[in-house]
Amino acid sequence: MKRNSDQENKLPLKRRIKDILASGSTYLFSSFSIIALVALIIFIFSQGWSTLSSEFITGNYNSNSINLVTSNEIAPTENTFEYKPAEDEYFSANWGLAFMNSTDNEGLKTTIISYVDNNANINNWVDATTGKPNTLIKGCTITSVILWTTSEASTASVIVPTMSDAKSVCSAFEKCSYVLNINLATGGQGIRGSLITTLYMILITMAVALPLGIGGAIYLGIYAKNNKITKILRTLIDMITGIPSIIFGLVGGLIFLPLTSGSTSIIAGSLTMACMILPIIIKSTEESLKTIPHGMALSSLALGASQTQTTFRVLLPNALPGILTSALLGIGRVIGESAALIYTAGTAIMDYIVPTQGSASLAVHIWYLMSGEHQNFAASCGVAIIILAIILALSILIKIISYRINKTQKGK
Amino acid sequence: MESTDITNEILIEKACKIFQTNAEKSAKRKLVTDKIVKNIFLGITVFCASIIIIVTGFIIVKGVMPFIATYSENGNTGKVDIGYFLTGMRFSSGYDSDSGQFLYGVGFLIINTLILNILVSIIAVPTAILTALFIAKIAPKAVSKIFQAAIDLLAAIPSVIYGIFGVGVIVPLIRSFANSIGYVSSSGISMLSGALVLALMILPTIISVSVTALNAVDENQIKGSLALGASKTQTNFRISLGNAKSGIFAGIILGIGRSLGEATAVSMICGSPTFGITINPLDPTVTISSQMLLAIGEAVPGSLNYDVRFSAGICLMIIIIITNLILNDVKEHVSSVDKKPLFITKVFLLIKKETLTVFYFLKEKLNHEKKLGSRK
Amino acid sequence: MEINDNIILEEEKNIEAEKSSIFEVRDVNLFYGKKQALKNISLNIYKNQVTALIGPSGCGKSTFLRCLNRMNDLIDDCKVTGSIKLDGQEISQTNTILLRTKVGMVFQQPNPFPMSIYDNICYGPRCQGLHDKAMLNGLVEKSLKEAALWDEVKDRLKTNGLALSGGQQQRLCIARCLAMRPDVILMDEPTSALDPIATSKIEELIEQLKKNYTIVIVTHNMQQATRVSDFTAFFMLGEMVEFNSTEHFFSHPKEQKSNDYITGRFS
Repeated sequence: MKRNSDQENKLPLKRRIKDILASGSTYLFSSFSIIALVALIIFIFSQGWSTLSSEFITGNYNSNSINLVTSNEIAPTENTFEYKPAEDEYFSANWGLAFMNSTDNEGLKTTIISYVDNNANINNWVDATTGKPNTLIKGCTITSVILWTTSEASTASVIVPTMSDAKSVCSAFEKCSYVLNINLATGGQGIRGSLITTLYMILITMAVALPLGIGGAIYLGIYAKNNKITKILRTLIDMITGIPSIIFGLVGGLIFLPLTSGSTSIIAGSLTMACMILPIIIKSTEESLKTIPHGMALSSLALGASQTQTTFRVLLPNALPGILTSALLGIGRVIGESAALIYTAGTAIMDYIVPTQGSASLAVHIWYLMSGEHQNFAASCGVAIIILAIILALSILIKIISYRINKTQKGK
Repeated sequence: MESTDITNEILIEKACKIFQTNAEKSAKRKLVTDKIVKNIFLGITVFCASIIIIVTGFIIVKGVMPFIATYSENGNTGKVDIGYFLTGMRFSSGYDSDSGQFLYGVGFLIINTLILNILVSIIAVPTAILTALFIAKIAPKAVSKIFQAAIDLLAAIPSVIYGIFGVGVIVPLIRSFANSIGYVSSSGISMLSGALVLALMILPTIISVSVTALNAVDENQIKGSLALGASKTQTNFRISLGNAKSGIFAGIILGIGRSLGEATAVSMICGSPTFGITINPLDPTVTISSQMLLAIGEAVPGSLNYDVRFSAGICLMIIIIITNLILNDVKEHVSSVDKKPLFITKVFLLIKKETLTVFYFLKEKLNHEKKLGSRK
Repeated sequence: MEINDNIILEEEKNIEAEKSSIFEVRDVNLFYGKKQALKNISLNIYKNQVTALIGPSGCGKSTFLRCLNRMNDLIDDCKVTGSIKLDGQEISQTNTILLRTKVGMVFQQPNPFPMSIYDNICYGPRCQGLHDKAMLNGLVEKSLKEAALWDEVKDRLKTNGLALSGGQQQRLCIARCLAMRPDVILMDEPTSALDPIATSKIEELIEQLKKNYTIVIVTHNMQQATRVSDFTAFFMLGEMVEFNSTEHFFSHPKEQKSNDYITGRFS
């Protein structure tokens, strides 16, 4: 009987179609995930890269205000100034100043001084706090200004511009002949406060969670017997990971806020976070203790060392890599946490940090910027880049430590 | 040489004497210290274990208060109506002067939470499983390793950052999509955007656990399948996925747990409508957790507004526990060799058996009485 | 009770009267939960002699060894009855820490601490409060010399103990044990993880050590028992079948089971 050679070489159509569908959908869905996750990273970086600067990282969130006053000794100049303003700049020839529209932290419109001529009168005005002229005027936001039509108080009328419109401010300056005083705001949008808050939180959380976590891991890994009670203890500790962070926020608020007389505080937030990361520390440290060969503990005891001496001189030092890993994982969790901290440490962005007062951590800072009416993408993404950079550094450190552990394990 | 040996000997004799007398003096004390230290560590462990009991306790106590204690708000006094609480369609409905009770409802929140999470599961689970399959079995080794490292990193990204991405990219996308199909008033803030972002958030978690499970599948099984003439794709789907079922399911449970409890990202992306069940995916929605975050600044500890959030918290915990139990049950069913019956199936069968027993008993009785009746 | 005393009387006839017992073991039974691992063990360990415990795997020889320094106390659910006396004192009444300073142990797997060689050896004395540098130096030198390791490591005392070869690590463990100047050294199959050259080095070592120490060695290698030991106890299924001087045990075993084991009927 002759076999049909066609039938031999091709798989039945139905099966081929099934195969193609299956592998096709695999590729399709995988590319969706990968594209989406890559898009996330690209978006964050593209939006936030431009806001990163040393002022952003080290500056105050709230602007500094400068109050400049004219004095009778300084006569207004008679000169007119020349300057070619850009598209969106408005130049006042009488005063040698150019104004531009901008937005502030909250997303509201403001006017900034975008150009100051070197001979402009404003350079001689005196700073009310220092008594000296302040020349760092370019780029400052004008918060308020008192403009008079004449230099005599009795005859002058006040011109009131719309502070949020640069054009209006410019024409108001042109009309006036005397500026009584001008309030400027500089700086701001800095995240120094939130950075320091996050650092404080990491320190306090670790100071509380590490001893407790290591203690728990020591008991479970070294002293505990394999009975029901130990199983129950382990299960209870594992269940902590299943509780959503917002519940921790609620209960943490209940228990810890009274410590600082009812108001939110960094301490309350840190104590709440310490409870949340305990399982991570206990698990990681216990794993590390388990990898120590049992013979080491036995040798130590056989030499006449007490169990306590064995634990502290032989076992813990060997578990150090695991403890470090657990600390790094905990730090990563602290940095990323938002819901629990919103309840316990508050959302106020502060410039001067006191542990007994509430303040926003980096993640909460982002939440604050994004949940108002005007969402500040640039600043949020800037903070996000910093958070991502820290998490990346932590992950690399953890990988290095695990690699080192594997090497010494295999070397033995 | 000899003199140093002798001085050495004397030194050693001294040393021995010292540490041997030390040993004798301190041995008892050391055993006592051992016991104390052990108990200290035990105490620490018990404390750590009690955290969950304390948390649960506080939530329950504070959450039950609105229903049993009387509150005075804005001139009205009363408790919270528990019936409305469980079925109500509006969170803050004010005060019902007839029954003297405050009206706070989370019924709609429960339904919204479930709908949102079902949507998230539908989007995330197939995507994650297929991506994991791709990473573990199809991609070349080097590429696979890079992906795995990248996925591990992505799993550590905080939820606020996903929130920014959601608001900045997904919401406008959904807005233009909605506009293009005629839903003009949509701002993009919607359940669909939230579901997409949440799905994205839990993808790395499910993928990394699934990749581990897939990599652990026995090579021999795969070789056996290929040797029988199955194609690579068929082997991937039937053998690899089949064997890794239990691990993949564990990843899914982890992921869904995370998305049920997610608050910050949902509140940034899904909006804050104050009432009603959301069925249209293009409408804004509010879940239990995002409701708990809303207007947090105005809630004063001790007030009813603050305390009722704890009640919402109880509901959230109950939902999470029930979901975990159901999913774990399904996981056991799916991954056990002899197809352990689902709890629901067991309950159903039990009810069926009991009903049938009662039915037959009644039928017998009825027949018996008929016979008696006909005799008379 | 009578039978045991008779056995011991018989042994003493074969042994010169000068040898004194450092351990007197009478009627020791050991239970892991409900399972009995040792049944009515009675024997004497003689001072400055090497006693070998041999027998097929699972016969309880390591378990018995661990009774001598109460390492079995560390195992959950382990009960020991009977009397074990060290120098006339009941060890179940002695403080365990003190006991273990007098009775040292070397394990099957060499396990030096991940510290320098110097710190490894000083570990024991330091735990007992000895910190004087000169004394510690002297102890380190003496212990390493006694363990036949001094020449090989004297110029790298500060290097990590794990960097040594397997045989050297085991000698380090022995040196670490010797630093405590114990009365008895228990060795649980010390050479089974080592190559033949390292093994023979340690066997030579044991020969040297017995001048100053008493050694009890568990071994599954009968030839090793014949090479190093003065006395041999044969264990089987938790019972001590026979105890005699090595010479007599291997040339004229009294029990049929001993004969079967020696001739290799089972191992």
